[in-house]
Amino acid sequence: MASSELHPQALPEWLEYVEHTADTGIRVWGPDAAAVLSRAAWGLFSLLVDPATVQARLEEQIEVRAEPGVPLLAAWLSALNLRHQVEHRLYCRFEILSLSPDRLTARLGGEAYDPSRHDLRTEIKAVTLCGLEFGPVGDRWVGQAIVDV
Amino acid sequence: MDASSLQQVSECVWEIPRQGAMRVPVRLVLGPAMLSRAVADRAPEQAMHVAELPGIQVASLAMPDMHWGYGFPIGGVAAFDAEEGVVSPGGVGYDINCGVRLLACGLDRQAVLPRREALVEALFKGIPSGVGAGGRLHPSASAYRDAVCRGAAWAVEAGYGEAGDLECIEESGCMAGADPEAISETAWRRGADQIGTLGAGNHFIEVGTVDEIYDETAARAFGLALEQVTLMVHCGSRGFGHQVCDDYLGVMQRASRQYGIALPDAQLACAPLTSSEARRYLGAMNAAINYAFANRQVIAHLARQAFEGVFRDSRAAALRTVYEVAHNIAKFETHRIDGRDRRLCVHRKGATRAFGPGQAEVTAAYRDVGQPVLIPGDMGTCSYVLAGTAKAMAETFGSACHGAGRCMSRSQAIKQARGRDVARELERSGIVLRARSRETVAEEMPEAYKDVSEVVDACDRAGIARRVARLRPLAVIKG
Repeated sequence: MASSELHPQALPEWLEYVEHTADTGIRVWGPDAAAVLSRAAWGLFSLLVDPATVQARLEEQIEVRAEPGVPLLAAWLSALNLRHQVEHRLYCRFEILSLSPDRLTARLGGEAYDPSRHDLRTEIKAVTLCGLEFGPVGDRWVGQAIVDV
Repeated sequence: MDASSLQQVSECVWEIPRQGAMRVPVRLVLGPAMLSRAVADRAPEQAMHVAELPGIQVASLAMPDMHWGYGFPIGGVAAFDAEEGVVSPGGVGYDINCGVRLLACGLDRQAVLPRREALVEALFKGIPSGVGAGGRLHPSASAYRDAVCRGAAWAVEAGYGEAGDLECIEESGCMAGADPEAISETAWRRGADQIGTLGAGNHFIEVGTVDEIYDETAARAFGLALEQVTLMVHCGSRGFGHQVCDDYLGVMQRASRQYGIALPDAQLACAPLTSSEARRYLGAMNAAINYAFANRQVIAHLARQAFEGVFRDSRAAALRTVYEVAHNIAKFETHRIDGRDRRLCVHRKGATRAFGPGQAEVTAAYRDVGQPVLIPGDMGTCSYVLAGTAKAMAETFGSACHGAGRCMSRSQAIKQARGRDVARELERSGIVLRARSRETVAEEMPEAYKDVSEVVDACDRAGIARRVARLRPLAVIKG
């Protein structure tokens, strides 16, 4: 079941929040894998904070490799959540620079968490593999991830 | 799934018979009125998936607070043969050793009510909580390592609490077999400044009062009396435990393939208990268990300071640990199956150990009546103290429920709370709420949870834990 009720802000038409009894999730779609990865990352951070309050004050690069058996979407979102947890970063721009089935590099735009401007909504413990989807459906790509909050 | 596919075994136990790749049946502990809601959820289906894992014994169980989790259901209990079975990080969960400590003091409700606001403020200021909140402890690298090896004992030696606390904690607050070498650098970093922090989400501190005693003998053994003021702490292993689980899910994905284990759900990734992957995970998980024991020990100490600061003129304000239980854990225990003692790795995910009278593992002072089983409800109704039973030892590997269990998704809860002031509603019911986030309050509003009394009643009627006392909240602190 999908919903846009979790946060009342207007959501892009390519993002839905996924309902889960204990947790929550995101479902995005786009023309290709890179778009879905980028939009899923935006969706993940929209669970954490109002995206309108995050500015691209700094630019960072990231390389993500998925372990065998772990879908790239899960590895990518986990890596971003980790940067948020450990480096206290918030991101609003995600540009996929290179992509293979188990590896990507990306340029991130964002800033350091500032409690005076950023009202964190939740803490994401982890991106789960439960209900995870990442692949083409018809003429577009779909990505779905449920996160443990 | 519809209710007609279930067979009633006893008044509050329902069975899904073995089918397909299931190695054992599923048994659901439910009150009759809970059945339709339970089968509409995906928890029974997840319990059926667990029943497919190698080495599972007797049945895949779900307690009455069951609901859809990831991999294992929340409220799931599964025991695996130590030689032929598996360990699954998904059967423990991300918040390893999330658990509850109950403390009680000599003050009664009437003594606390006039200073309740000051007490809430002292607890709120004294105990770091909420999203992104770091702790005030900054242990050296060697002290941090010591903490994850020795758990609550480390905290007591560091000046946080009393030696007497340790005997009233499951496993005495220290799980043997922690392996710091099995911890990733990332996990060390995520947990570095979080010992002594509550976190957010469903974690809380609740000041309550005993308003009903059901079992005088057990209540006396637990040191609980009518009108007595209590404090409950619910939290876990913070980012340290979350990262341990995440790290080893990848390891277990590879191990499942390597050992030829068919997985009905990727989140059930596991490894044979005799494998090197399992040994490393158990070493890391035990370290996370100890992290959580240390965390709650420090928080209990900070709560004591808050009580003693507000009630300076009263020695009765001293908080005594009644007991502490773990909810998300896997550990080796001996249980009797078909007349034979068997060494099993019991996974409890959102379930509480409920060992009965006479068990050597139970604190000596409680051994005659059974282990205290602490069941928090939602923040607007009540919580319960139960006691473990011999029947739990025989039927649920000494396990019972862990709370009310959610019945509403977070987005549904936020939608229902729109236009309401949940804090004001609680205040009108006589409960003071202090929270960092309005959104957390909406997500955690009472209606988002099942009726805890119904859940506890199902445990009591099934005979796997018996009611001892009910606690009514006076004040709640949320992250």
